[in-house]
Amino acid sequence: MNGLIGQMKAKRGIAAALINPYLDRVCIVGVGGTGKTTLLEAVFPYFPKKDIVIVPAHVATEKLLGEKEIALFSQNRKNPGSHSLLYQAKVVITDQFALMSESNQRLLVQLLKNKEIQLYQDADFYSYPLMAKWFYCLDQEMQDKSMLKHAKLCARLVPVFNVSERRDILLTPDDQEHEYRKEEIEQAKQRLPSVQVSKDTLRLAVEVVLRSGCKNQEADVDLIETARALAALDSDESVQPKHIEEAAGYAVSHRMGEQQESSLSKESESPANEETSKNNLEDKRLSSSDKETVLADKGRQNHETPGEPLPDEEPPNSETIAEDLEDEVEQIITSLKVQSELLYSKRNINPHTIKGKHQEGTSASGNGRAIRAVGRPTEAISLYHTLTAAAPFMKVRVPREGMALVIEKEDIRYKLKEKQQGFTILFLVDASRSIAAKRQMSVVKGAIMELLRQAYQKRDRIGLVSFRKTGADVVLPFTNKFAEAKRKLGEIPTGGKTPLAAGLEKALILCEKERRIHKQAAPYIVILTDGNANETLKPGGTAAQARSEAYQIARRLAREQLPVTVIDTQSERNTFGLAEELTAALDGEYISLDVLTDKNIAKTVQSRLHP
Amino acid sequence: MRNYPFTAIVGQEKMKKALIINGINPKIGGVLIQGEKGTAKSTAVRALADVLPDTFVVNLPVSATEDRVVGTLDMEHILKTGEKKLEAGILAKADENILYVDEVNLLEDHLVDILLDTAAMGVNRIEREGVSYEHPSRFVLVGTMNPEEGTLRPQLLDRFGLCVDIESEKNIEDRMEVVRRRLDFERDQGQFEKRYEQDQMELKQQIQRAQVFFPSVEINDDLIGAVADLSIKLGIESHRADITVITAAQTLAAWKQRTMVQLEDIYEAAELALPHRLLQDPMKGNPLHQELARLLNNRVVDN
Repeated sequence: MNGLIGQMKAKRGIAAALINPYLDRVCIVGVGGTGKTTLLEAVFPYFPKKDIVIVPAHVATEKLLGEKEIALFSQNRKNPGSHSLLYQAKVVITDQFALMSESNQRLLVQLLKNKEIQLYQDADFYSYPLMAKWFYCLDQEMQDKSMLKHAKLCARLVPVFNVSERRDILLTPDDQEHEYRKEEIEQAKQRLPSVQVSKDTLRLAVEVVLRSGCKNQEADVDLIETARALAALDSDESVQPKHIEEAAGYAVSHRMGEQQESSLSKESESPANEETSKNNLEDKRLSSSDKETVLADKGRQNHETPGEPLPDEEPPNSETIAEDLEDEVEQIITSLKVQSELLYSKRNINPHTIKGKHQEGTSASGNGRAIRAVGRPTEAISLYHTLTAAAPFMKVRVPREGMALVIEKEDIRYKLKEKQQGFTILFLVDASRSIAAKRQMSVVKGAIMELLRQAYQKRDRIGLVSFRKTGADVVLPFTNKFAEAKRKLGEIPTGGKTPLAAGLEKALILCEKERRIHKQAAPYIVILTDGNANETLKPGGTAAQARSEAYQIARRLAREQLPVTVIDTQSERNTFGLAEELTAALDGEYISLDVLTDKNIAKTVQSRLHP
Repeated sequence: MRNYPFTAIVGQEKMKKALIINGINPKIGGVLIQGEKGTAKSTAVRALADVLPDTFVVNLPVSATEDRVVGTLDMEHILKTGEKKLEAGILAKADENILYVDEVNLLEDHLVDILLDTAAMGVNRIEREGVSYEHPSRFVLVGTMNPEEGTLRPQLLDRFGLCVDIESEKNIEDRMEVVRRRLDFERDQGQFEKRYEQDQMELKQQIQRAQVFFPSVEINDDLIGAVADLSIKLGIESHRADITVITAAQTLAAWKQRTMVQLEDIYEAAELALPHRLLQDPMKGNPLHQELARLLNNRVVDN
């Protein structure tokens, strides 16, 4: 029963999108294996085949933007050869939107929002309209919920039926109870222009969006348009409050999580559990009431607006809102919150139960995007640029047997790929008693903040591991976010013994992981220590054991060829040479600063990285 | 595809003002519009071209290739004829037009470099396979971004003459009016345009009059002193800030059909040209922003 309702809901949502041309960005969300693709395919019959363009996840940027095709043989070229894949598309389908590269995702969304594609052709600039309806699918378990927000309308599938049953229901054309026939949609389309929206309904819609905490003002129009489509589907002459309520599920709920999401991502990588999402809902309630207090001032400001015709309505007055409207809004908001929570919360996922065709993954072989062609060899040859370079000489060169073109070695151009910019710096900081006693922790924190300040410009990422007592802690995972770092640096406990080995081991693990994720980035390790070690990996060993363990791991770091700088926290006069010994084992660089200040450390590190 | 009329946009006066004065006088150096999604940022930019004489909005896609932006050799021509021929890029078309970068904070680094280079010189240089060529590329740079999705490189930030922060409308009546107009527009674009034809025409004429007026707008030394004073008080190092404030103030005066810049123009201009140039110390929040607001408020009261 539940499944039937859910499925009907998704289909009604899709029907609304089919009826109203304004609703041109539609998202289908569901857990893996609930048949998102099947529902997507059910859209196809409503359009002529030639109007549908399916954009594969691996589409090239050039294909989206349109590129100049080389037409060597056609003398008179009437139609421009450089069409985008999206040229004359009426329906654009991206089944695996999440798998597209991020830059292509942005590009596609921008093109669809701009509703035009601009291009050059023979020194002529022109553009053609792109009036397409876009359907895309997202997996509910995806990490990045921000992709939901591209949609004007979002239909959610409930995981109950297995795929084959679902397919039967979706594709059986004479199953009239469940399927919207083409004529039905067509008739609703005819009715749509005459569907009226009363002032009260409009107010209800705007109130709902405002109160939902959705920041996107566009949701107002999307909500009304969805409600109009639903009213047209129900053969109603005007939009009823029930339509607003229903439409809010499609047009608003997927946008409510925006704040929730951003606050969650700031927290940490730990998955959202029930509790945090509830807390966030509380927060949202608070913030929406905050907004209402601002509301009054805003209204006043807006009256001194020269040149802009103001709505000739009575001045805003929240008291005039009827009680029943208030109730209605409350009711809708409550149901929206439930829906939004379903959409945004991550349930406990057993990795073995995830079905579906694809899952998110990082791209293979950390190649960057080609940004230009260069003469010096890199990983890949750029055919286009090679041919361009060779072209001027074609007239004077004699091709070899059976070859049309002559390409010499000097013509060959390579793709220069964009690499991750900036460095990754890991601080490994001794937070044991000896350091704490000298108040060196604040100097270290200062240095890290200083580096983070610069990291903003230099695109560096910084992480921090501290070790004390019996083990090492990741205080700060690699980041360039200042605010987050500041908060986490706030309280680092100090004191206790010095488990240097544990610290080095943690650093090694982190750096190896980092190197696996970002192929090019070899993390640079800065160790602040006096070189002393008196706690073993397994707590309780002697100081001598602790030291020998530390040196063993130090040599492993050296074998991994991780660049290390050791900053001696002992000043030059009374150094015991322990830090120098450690540096030798690490095969790193030893620095002793006369005066250990935050600026000094930051400057030293920066001068090593950005000479 | 018809653009939504500029004059039909409800509210967002600051953004509209910033766009219009850039339209009157491209030397102001463009505008960065920061705000949440759905605050009519893109709509306003695209609508601006309709009220400016002979102006296009040229899009710079955030993930365009360098070749496409700068221009490159026409491969087809070379292969056919053996002669080099240049194919111009987006920057050529953007000359004397509006160069619009949506989500400018997500613009790829190599494109930011090109943009900075060209915006500084007003010239685009092409160096490709033995071809050296340059052409003027003086555009009004308009960027929009949602600050939640990432920050902008400081160098690029300073390149924008003006910067406005916009928020979604919180007033219910105004929001209802936005929806109403949007519905009307979707229902019958032609009729909707007719409704605003008069307003659009008047705005167009006002802009053209301001353009004619601008060269004769004067500013006295006291006011120039006031601008310098303001920048010093706020600890702004860049002289570009001062120059932008003055240029914008002159343009505002021209917009108001005056030949003398008045103090109110200066403060109006400062409000648009200074906020993004204040030194940002992420450690301390934004005391300078409050300082700017305080200074501006005091001055307006004083006069």
